[in-house]
Amino acid sequence: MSETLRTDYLLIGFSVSSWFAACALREEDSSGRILAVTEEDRVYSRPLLSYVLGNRSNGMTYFGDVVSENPAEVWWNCAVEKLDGPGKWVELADGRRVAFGKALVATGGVPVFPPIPGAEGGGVFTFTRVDDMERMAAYIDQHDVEDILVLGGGFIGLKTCEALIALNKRITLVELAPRLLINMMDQTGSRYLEKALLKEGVEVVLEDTVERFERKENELCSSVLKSGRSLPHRLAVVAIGVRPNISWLAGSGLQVNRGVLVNAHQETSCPGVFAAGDVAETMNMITGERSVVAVWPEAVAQGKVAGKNMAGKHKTYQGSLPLNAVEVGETAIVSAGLVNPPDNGTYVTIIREERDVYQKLVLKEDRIVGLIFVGDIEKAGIYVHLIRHRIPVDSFREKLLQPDFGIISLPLNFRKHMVEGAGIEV
Amino acid sequence: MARSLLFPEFKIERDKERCIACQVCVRQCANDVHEGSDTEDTVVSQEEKCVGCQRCVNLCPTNALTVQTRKDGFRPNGNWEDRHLRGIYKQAETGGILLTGMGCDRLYPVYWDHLLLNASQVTNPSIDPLREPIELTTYLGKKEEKLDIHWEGDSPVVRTRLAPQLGLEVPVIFSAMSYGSISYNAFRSLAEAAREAGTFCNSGEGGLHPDFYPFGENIIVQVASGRFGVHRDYLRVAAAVEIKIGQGAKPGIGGHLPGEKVSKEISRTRKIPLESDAISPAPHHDIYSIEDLERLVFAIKEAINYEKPVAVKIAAVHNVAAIASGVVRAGADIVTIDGIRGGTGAAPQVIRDNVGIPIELALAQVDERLRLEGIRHHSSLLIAGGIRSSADVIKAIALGADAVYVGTAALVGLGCHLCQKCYTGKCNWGIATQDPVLTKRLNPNIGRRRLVNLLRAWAFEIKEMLGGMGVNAIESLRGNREHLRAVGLSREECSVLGVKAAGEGW
Amino acid sequence: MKHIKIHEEYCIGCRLCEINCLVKHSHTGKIIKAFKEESPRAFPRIRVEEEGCLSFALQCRHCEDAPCVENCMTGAMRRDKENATVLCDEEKCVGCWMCIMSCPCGVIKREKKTRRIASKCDLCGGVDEPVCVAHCPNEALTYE
Repeated sequence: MSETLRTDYLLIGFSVSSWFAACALREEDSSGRILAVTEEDRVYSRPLLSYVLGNRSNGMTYFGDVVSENPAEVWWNCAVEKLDGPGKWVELADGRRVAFGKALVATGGVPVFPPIPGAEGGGVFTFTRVDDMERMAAYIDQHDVEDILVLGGGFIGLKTCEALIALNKRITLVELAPRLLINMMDQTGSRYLEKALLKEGVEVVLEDTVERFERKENELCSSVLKSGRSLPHRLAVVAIGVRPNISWLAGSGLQVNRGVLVNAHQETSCPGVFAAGDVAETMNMITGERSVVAVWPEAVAQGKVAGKNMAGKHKTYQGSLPLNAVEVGETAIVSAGLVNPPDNGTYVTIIREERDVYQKLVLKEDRIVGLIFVGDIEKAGIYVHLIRHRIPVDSFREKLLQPDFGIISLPLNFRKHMVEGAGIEV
Repeated sequence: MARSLLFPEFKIERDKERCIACQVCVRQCANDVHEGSDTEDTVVSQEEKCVGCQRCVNLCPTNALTVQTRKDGFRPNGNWEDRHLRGIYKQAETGGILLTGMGCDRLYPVYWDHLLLNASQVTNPSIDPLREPIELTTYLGKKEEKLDIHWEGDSPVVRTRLAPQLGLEVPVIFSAMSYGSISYNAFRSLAEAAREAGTFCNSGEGGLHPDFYPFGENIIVQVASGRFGVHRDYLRVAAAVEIKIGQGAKPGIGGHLPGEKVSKEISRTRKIPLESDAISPAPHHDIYSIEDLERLVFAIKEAINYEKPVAVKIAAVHNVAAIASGVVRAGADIVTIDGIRGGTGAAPQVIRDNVGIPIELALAQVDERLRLEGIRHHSSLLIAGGIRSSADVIKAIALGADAVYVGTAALVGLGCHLCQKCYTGKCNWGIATQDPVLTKRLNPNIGRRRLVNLLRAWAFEIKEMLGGMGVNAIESLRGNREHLRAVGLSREECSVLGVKAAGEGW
Repeated sequence: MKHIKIHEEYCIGCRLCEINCLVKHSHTGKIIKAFKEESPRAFPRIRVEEEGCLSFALQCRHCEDAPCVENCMTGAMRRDKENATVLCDEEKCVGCWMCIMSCPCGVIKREKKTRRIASKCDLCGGVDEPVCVAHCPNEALTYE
């Protein structure tokens, strides 16, 4: 055993959850040492990747002041090999050990990459980290890539399409399921999405997948789909999913399922060790089931809760709410909560459908539990608020999804509470 | 239905270059004159329903609108004026009395405009109100014949028991306008302004909403023929009680608030059932003589323990001087006289425009009669009906009034544009309406501020004029008709007014 | 920090606040040009809500604990250090709409510039009185 270092708080991985945890820690504990270790070489906003690739953002930084006001000491390029939860230490890739008082596991997710023949040898990318993006951008430049295959019609696949549309590439989107965004859209919503993609020149291939990639002179040139169809392309993005990055936790003493199991304080089965963000498996606030909800707002909320609890405060996480937005051309698409309810008679849906607008609310008893908005999304936040705070909607149910629905439609007390804010009267 | 022979009274011009189709006019017109189009970026106007209230003109952000009286193109006829033709067309269609609001708008002589004020030159120095105090404080109520003063050491002690008085910082009171005829917010504006400016407002015959009881020290409550909202606390909370016998806009007739306007709050205030018609009979059914009036005056004085003055309001009619004399003898501490130009929320047009006499003539005659009878000091004279400016106020005081009531002027201060449609209940300015969409348009904070400003401005002007005359207290001007001269009036008119012709010396 | 206070009992539903907000955020800043000549037409950052005889104008509340700031993945939505206003940095915003999804008042809009960005009340850039307040004919909005 080489030298053992000590820190009061150790943050493993340094992205959004860790950043908010560090801030929360510093609010409660002005002197404790906060050390963050990350295998990456910088801090950046992961969801920004697709926007940077599509030249829609100037850079990867979020929170312009993240470096200048960072409350944590960060060791870059420093992977953690091993965690001993009960023993409260970690071992770094370089062999050093760090003992900690409290630790936060925030190592995010890793892309799922199925074994596809021909994938080795360049030209096939996953797209979840900044180096993926940089390599992909370089490859596009070097090879004058025009045709691109995106495998996976889920959220990351769509975000990739958004970026590549902005780069004016010819895109084929291949999805195994019978429709796109199967988790965040319903049948109708997916149709609107397909229509929007078509308008932007994206070819959508459903119920199919890549059987093998083909190469000419070792360069990627096409793929053959399960259906037998052959698609020419110089670059492929495999975006069929992300799973929590937990393989390194074997033997750590932390209970894991799909992700690291945590309680309502973001604490793992091992006292003093917390987890937050895409690696954590939390309670879904709608279904009550445990799941990994890998979205930015939840990473923020979980990081804050973890930080407060690590500092000894008692703060409870309200449960996760799946929440996503994509935009294809002019069409903005958002969804939240439960959008494909089981057909068991306990759920009711309200739908407004116009030429370019599709809105759907899913209600259980007198509460909204999910929504899909396509086209007209500006008031989505009001409905998300109703979901998050479990506001009964019976008294204004008939106004839901009406074009003039607004804060005015809400019961007086709730309306005042919302609009009042910091000493503001209604 | 036969085609109407009436056509629009107003012409609306919309400058297409300036109109941005923002639809503010559409949203602000309670008469649905303007209509926007969803598909095209245009707004069109239907002039038939326009009442010329100018609300849309005022709020149009690009000044794209003008609303003017339409030249209707009737063949000119010195006898048959347009208003006669319109009246006949309307009545031939409806078979009803023509209703109207506000005061008489006929071109009868306005005597204020024929009276000119004096000023000091050389032999009697004028006073600069910025350097020397000028007193506007006025007390309304019975004044004593003589005061029994004893000296205790160096200090005088008045032994005479003084009659109750209303003290005004400025000799202008907001006249009787009931909650019902005007909105809650309008009434609140008046009450708050009266308190802030050190004067009074009058409840009208509509009772007093509980919210306004805290303003009691600045409210005169009315007891009228319908006795609406009259009860012990109502009488006691007020600074004074006014018995209303008549109103200048409609002498000799009663009033009628239709049941539709008797909302929950109004029914609560007037103490009548929800949505029932509120009918004020033409006469008080218990008053058929001065002696009957005296009984009511003293019944009220008993009720309020003789602690506050009781006023009696009559309309200016032909025999007003003799009636006023009787009223004084009936025990009124204040006699209120309302002239033909006095306003109303609703009155038959034929009455409003043809019954009664101008207040200037009535005032001069009443003041003179009471002086001759030696009872002028038994009551204060409060006059109403067409006071438009500080000049009218000061002329009224020189003619013999103690103070004046302003109704229309106050409403104009609140935004009224004299469209005379108060009786429709669709006042676009939020004043003469109970429609919750419209009443919001008058923010009482703004209303109060505007009314206080108005009174302050008038007070400044009155002080300037007094100073110019070399008079340092408004008391010294009261009834001093030597400070007035008439222009353009006949000998008879001068004689009724008791005013010399301009050019005549002392 | 000063706030725009909403006095719903005096809102007359004229929407002059919306109109003047649009003009303020238009290219020319001139009302007739903003409506008749500019294309695309600017839009207001304030919304008048109406129901029956009740109405009020609603714009960003500049919440103390602003969810749009926390949920912004670029840092474009930020709290101004000097006057605590919540502002969107157009340079940084990429239009991910997480702010729209987080705004409980629904007062953030999508604006098309060179790309789509989030757009909201900026309190008219720190003036003494925002235009919605200055042009409210009935003081239903006050800045205090």
